[in-house]
Amino acid sequence: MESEDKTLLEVRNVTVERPAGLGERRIGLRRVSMTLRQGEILVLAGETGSGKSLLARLIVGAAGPQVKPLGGTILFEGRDLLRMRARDLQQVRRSSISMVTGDSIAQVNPDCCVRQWLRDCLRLTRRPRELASEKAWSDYFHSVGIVEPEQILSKPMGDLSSMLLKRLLVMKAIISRSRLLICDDATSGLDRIAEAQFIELLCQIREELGLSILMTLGSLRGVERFADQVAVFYEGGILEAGPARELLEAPQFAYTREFLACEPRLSDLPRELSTISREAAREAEEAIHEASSSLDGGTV
Amino acid sequence: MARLFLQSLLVALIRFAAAGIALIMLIEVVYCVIGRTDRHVWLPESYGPVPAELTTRPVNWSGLLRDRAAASLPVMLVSLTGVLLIGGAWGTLGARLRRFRGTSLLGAPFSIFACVPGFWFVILVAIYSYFQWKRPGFANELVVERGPDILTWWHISVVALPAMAAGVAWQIRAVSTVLEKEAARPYLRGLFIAGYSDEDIFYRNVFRRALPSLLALSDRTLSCLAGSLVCLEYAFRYPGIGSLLVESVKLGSYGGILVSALSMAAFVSLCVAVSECVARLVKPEGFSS
Amino acid sequence: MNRRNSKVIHLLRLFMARIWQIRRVILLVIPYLFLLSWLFLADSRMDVRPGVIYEVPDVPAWEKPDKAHWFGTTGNGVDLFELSRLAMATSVSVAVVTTSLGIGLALLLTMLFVFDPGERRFDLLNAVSRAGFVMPSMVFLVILTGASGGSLVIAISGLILVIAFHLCPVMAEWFKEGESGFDVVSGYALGLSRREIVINRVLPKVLRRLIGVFASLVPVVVMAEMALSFMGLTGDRLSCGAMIAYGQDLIIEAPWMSIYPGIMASLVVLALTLLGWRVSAALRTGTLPRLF
Repeated sequence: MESEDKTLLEVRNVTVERPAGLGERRIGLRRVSMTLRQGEILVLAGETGSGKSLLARLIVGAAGPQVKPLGGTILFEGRDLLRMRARDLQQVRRSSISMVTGDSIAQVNPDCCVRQWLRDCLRLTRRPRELASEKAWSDYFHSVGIVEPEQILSKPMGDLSSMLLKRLLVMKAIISRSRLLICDDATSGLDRIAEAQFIELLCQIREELGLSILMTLGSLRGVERFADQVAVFYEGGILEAGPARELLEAPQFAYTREFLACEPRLSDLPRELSTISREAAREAEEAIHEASSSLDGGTV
Repeated sequence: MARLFLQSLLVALIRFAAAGIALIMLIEVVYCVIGRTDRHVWLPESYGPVPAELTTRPVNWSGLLRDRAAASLPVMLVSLTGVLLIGGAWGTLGARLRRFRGTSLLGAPFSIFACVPGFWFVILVAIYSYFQWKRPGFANELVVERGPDILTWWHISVVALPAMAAGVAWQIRAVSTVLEKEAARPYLRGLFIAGYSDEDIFYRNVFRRALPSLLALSDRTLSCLAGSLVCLEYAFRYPGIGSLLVESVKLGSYGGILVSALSMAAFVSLCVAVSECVARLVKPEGFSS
Repeated sequence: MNRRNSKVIHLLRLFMARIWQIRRVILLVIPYLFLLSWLFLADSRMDVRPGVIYEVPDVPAWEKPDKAHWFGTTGNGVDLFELSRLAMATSVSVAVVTTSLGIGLALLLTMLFVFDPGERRFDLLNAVSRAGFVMPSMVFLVILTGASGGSLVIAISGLILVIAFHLCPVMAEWFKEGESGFDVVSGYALGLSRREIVINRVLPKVLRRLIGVFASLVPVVVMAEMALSFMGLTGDRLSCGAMIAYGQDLIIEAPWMSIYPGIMASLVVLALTLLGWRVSAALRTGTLPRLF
C-alpha cells in the first residue's frame, strides 16, 4: 500500500451542479472520489458528456461560474482547491498545475510569437533571470522533442501545428516546475503517429521528472501501455476504477466491456460497428445512482 | 515606415479626390438640375469674390479659409481629444469591468447629454451668459469682445462640448463592444488556466489584439465630429468652417461651399490616413478593407 | 390512461408560451406605442407654418408658462405645449418614414451583391463606404436640402441615402456572419442552390436584426431632422428645430419660446433612444455605426 505522503491529488465525494440549457440545472459530477499519487498516470475514460472534462476543469478552477460544487473536496498537496481564494488558485495554476487541452490553439494568443510567449511564461513563474538567455531554453526544447527551436521562436503561435503547440505546452509545464499535468482530451485532433509520440513524451517526462499526469480520454484503447490507473466515467460518476491492466482484463461491468469493444478493428470488418447495449447502460446507471446515494462512492 | 506613410497618403488623396468629384456633382445636380439655375459648377463666372455676408473684412478665398480654419481647428482638436481620451478610457473601463452589471451605466451621463439637441444647448448657454454675466451669449465677432484669451477658449470649449458629448457616448459603447467581443474569444480561457492575471489577460492580450479595430473606430468619429460642428457653429454663430458651409449654401456661393466642404474632407482624410498608418504599425498585416 | 388535450387548448398553450418568450419585447413596445399615440394626438388644426406662428405682432400677446399653458404661449397666443407636441409628432413621422425607407434601400443594395458566391463580393460596398467617410453626412445633407429650397421630399431623400450608405456595410457583415452558420453548411451539403440558401437561411437572420436597427435609428434621424430645420434648410415647416431657431431671436424677451420646445425634444429623443437601445439589445442587433 502506498503511503499517503506520496498522494498528490485527492478528490473526495465531489458533487457538482451544472447548467443544462433552457434554465435547467443537472448534476454534472456525482460523489466522485479518486486519488492520484506522485509520478502516476491516471486516465479518466468515458463517453462525451460523462463528466471527465468537467472534473479536469474543476481541478484547475476553470469550470466557469455557473458550475456550482454541492459538496466534497479536491485536495492538492493538502490544500482544498474548491475553497481556495482566487489569488491562491491563480498561483497554483501558474506553478503547480498545468493543462494541455485538445484544442491547443485555444490555449494561447494566436498573434503572440513563441519567444514572447516563453518570456510571459517565465515572468509568470518568476524565473525570468534564471532563463533570461535564449540559449538556456535549448535544453527545455530538446526535452520535449523540438529539435530546431530557433526556427519557431519568431513564429506566431497561431501558425504552429497542433503537435508542436502541445510540445510547447508540455515544455511550459516543465519550466514552471509543475507537479501535475492535466491532459484534457489532448490527443484529439492528432493522427495516430502524433498521438503515439505525445503519449511517449508524457511517459518520458513522468520517468525523468516524476510529473504526475491526469489524462481524460474518449476511449480505452491502448491505455494499459502507459496508464497506471484507469477510471471509467458514466453520467457524472465513476463506474469502476483500478489498475489499468486489471480493469481492462477483467472489467466488473458490462458497460466497460462494451465500451472497450467499441473501437473497430480491421479484422472486425465487414460488420456493424459495436455500440453500448441498453442493458449495459441500464446496469451502469443503476450502479452510479446507487454509488452516489451511498456513503463511499466509486473510488480509485 | 516612410513607405507606409506614403501609401496611406496616396489612399487619402484618392479618397479626397473622389469626395471632391462627388461634391462637384452634388452641387451641379442640386443647383442646376433640381434648382434649375444656369450657374454650372464648371463655369468660372459661377464663382466670384468672397461675398460680404461671409466675412467682416475684405479678404480673398484663401484668407477666408485661413480665418475660418483658425477658428474651427481648436474646436475640432478639443472635441476630438475629448472623444478619444474620455470615450476610449471609459469604454475600456466598461469592458474591463464587464462582469459587473452596473458598468452599462458608465456611459449614461454622456448618452443622456447626447440626446439633448446641441443647438438647444447653445440657447441655454446664451441665456445663462446673458442673465448671469450681463453679456449677450453668442460668439460672433459683433457681440463678443475679443478680450482675454480665456474667453476665446471658453467659447471654443462650449462649442466643442455638445459635439464631444455625442461623440463620447457613441465611442464608449463602440469601444466596449469591440473589447467585449475580443474578450469572449476562446483562447482567453487557456490564458486563465495558465495562470495569467486578469490585468495581464485584458491589457496585454485583449486590448493589444483589439487595438487595430479600436483605431478603425476613429475614422467614423472624425467624420461625425466634423459634421456635427456644421450645426453647432451655426447655432453658436461661431465663425468657423461649419458655419461658413451653412451660410454659403444659403447664399448659393459655390466658392464658399467648395472651400468649406473640401477643407473638412481634407482634414478628415489626413487624420484617417494617420490612424491607418498607426493601425498598420500595430498590426503590420495590412489595411482594413 | 393518456388524455389528449384538445387542439384548441394546445394552440392556446403554444401561443401563451410564445408570448411569454417575447414578454420583454412586448413590455418595450407598449411604452413606444403610448409615446407615439400621445404625440400624434396633438391638435393638428393649428396653423403649422412657424413663420406665421412666430410672427411677433406690435403688441405681443405671449404669456409666460403657467397652469393654463405649461410651456407658455407664442406672440400670437398659440399654446406652446400643443405646438411642441405637434412639432415632435411631425419630426417623428418624418423619422419613421425615412428610417423605414432607408433600411429598405440598404437591404436592396446589399442584396444586389449577396448572391455572388465570391469571397470579395462586398468589396465594392466597403470601398465606397470607406471613401464616403471623408465627406461627413451632415455636409451632404446641408448642401442637398439648402440648395433645393427646403423641399421636404429632398430632405427625406437625402436622409434615406445617408442611412442606406451607412447601413450597407453593416448588412454586408451580417450576411457574411449568417453564412458561417452550420445551417448554411448543411444546406450546401443537401444540394440547395445559393439563392435558396441565402433567401431561406441567411436572410431571416438579417431581417430579425432590422427591427432593432429601426428602433435605434429613429431618434438619430429625429435629431438630424431637427438640426436641419434649426438651420432653416427644410422650409417653413413646423419642427422643434425651427421653433428653437425662431425662439433664438427672442431669448431675452420670451426665453420660454426656445427653452420648452427643447425640453420636449430632449425628452422625446431620450425616451426613443432608451427604448431603441432596449429593443436592439433584446434582439441582439449590436452597436450600429454613427451616422451624423
